[in-house]
Amino acid sequence: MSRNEAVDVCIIGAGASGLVAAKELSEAGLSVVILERGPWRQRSDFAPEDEISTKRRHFFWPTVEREPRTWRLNAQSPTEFLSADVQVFSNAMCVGGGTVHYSGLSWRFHESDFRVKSTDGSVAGTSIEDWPISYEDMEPYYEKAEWTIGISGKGWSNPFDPPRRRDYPVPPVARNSAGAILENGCRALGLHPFPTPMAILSRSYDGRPGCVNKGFCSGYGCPVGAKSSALEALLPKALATGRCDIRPLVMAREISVDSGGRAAGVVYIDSAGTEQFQSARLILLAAGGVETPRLLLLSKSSRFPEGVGNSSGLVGKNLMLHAPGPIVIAIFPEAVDGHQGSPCTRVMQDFYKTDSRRGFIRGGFVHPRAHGGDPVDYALQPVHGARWGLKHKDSMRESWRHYLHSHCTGESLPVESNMVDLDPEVKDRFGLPVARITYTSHENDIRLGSFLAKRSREIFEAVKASKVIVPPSRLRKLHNHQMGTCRMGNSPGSSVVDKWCRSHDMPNLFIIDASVFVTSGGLNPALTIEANAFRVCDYIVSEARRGNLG
Amino acid sequence: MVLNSHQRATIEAAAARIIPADHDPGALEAGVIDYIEQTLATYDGDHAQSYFDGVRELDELARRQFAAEEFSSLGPEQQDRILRLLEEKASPFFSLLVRHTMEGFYGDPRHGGNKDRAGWTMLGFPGPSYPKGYSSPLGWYDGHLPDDFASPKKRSDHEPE
Repeated sequence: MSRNEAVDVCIIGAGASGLVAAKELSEAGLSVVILERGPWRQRSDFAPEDEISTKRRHFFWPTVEREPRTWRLNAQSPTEFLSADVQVFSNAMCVGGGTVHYSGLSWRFHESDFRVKSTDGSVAGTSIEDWPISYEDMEPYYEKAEWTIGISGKGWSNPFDPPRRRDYPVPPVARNSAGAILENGCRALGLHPFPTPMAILSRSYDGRPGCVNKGFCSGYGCPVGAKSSALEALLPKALATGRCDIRPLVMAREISVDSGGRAAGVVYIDSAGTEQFQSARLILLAAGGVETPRLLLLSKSSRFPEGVGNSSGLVGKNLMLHAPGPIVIAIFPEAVDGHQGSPCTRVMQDFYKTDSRRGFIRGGFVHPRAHGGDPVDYALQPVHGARWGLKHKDSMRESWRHYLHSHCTGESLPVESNMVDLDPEVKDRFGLPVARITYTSHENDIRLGSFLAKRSREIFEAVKASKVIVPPSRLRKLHNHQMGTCRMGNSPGSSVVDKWCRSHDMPNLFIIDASVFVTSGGLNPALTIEANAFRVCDYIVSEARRGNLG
Repeated sequence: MVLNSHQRATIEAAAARIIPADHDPGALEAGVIDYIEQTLATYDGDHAQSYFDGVRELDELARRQFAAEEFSSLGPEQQDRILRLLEEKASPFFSLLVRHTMEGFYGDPRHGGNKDRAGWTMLGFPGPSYPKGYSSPLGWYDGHLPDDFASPKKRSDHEPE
């Protein structure tokens, strides 16, 4: 094993949280190494609007052959390999992580999202808790994230939004027809539409150009550079310090521990297959809600037989993947032309708060979106009345310019038996046990998902859709929103990290991705991941300045 | 070439039933077979054997059902009946054929299919718009329904600062 020169900070995972930390800590004068399993791709590598090379051939998403994972419904049911179509609901393995291909919906969680137990009480079968931090603690960091990363939107246009002190740095992206349909459908029903806060620049900002409305955003890298990914908005700043070294195509295998019980460094396998050791004063784990607990569980030693940071036994538990809402398809008499514009330009949050009359707690939102373009994906959807032949061709010809689909994103409640652990049989190409996902959506999540699907139908019918298709909810096996597997809390017995996302067991180990979420919110998590990483980094820098980092 | 001439003719005939020609071109005219050849030679190399087996199965069914020499010599209705048999028994080869035919008809021509943008022209998709993109209004509804938030109707400045 070859040993690298020791650094202040080793970050595992170059996604949303990892690159926030790389920027913040290198700018504060610390030396940083980032380890990333995937490749480092640039703006010029993103084939514009090519569905085959980007989506069909898994340009971003891990393939089942190369990065297998397994799933089972519960501990009694058989385990299966996740299939290629489920892996698509995973996150990119590349520098920038999921932010490179995300749609970019950039939410602040609401005040109640941080105190679900106080707001809604306990629910049978769940492990609901309050977060050890509040919206007030997060507010300055949401603002910092919006302005640093470059979020477009219209402040105070959403009557349900939590309080904010400052508007977005750039105005909303141009509305498209999916947005016009949502806006007018909501108005007709007395709901409150507003421009979606998006990590897509509407005009030039911070040295990057504004959006040209070319479509093909969700699932694609942006060749324009208008999408505010961690790759575009954060990494260049980290690299400009000269103190940040990024190592793509390396696989972290173990967090090793010294004789005093502190994290000593990271063992990783480089792109040539050679084992390397990176010593660091601080380890920041930012590999996402599935791979973060996997690495902790892989880091077994005589001192930590259940894995590093796992004295609570909760590493990997309480996985949350958001409610399994169906993807509703609506067809309109006039052209929607979903290949034009941003993925989501108007949205509403009228169904976000708990309403006890609905038969479930918490809520979510409906986001009708232009499809973005993908004709192959649409051709393969089971909505044409025939899979092939002239009838299928007719359906494609008549409806491709006229359809949109609507996602229903809702909160999923934490359930301790929903988890990530190590598969006892299946190994990856490095010989390491793969992540096994055990997941059954709680009844509350299922009800919420169907509720949002019904609301979608009403909105589209209010704008005279010629056809609304609500497919049955899919079984949730994996999703790109992966949260909860190293929850944050004040008590070492019932949480993995403290309110500063520092391991209860190991003072120089921090976990900064969505693994630390206590509850899931009913909103896309990226901005909350980033804001929380900014918050944690502020703490780390102040501790470092006080000499408290050892 | 991954497929021999008989295999190629058989798959070409089957794909032409998945997306038949009418007043618009079908899979045959759009050169879907060239997409399939190309993907089997590159990304989908693992699937070549499924095609070899699939061709044998199509010919076998043609013999059994219609006492014909081979699938490609059957008429369209008979070919459809055989493909429907495969669909009904949830044949993985049939699913692969449907998937590849859609990819070859509706995907980017740079991958070998969608000749003369036949699939895109039929849909009304003008092809990749980068770097130009689109200006508002974006679709009929954006142009015709009220916009309470009055997003700028002129495309924003997208040149770097």
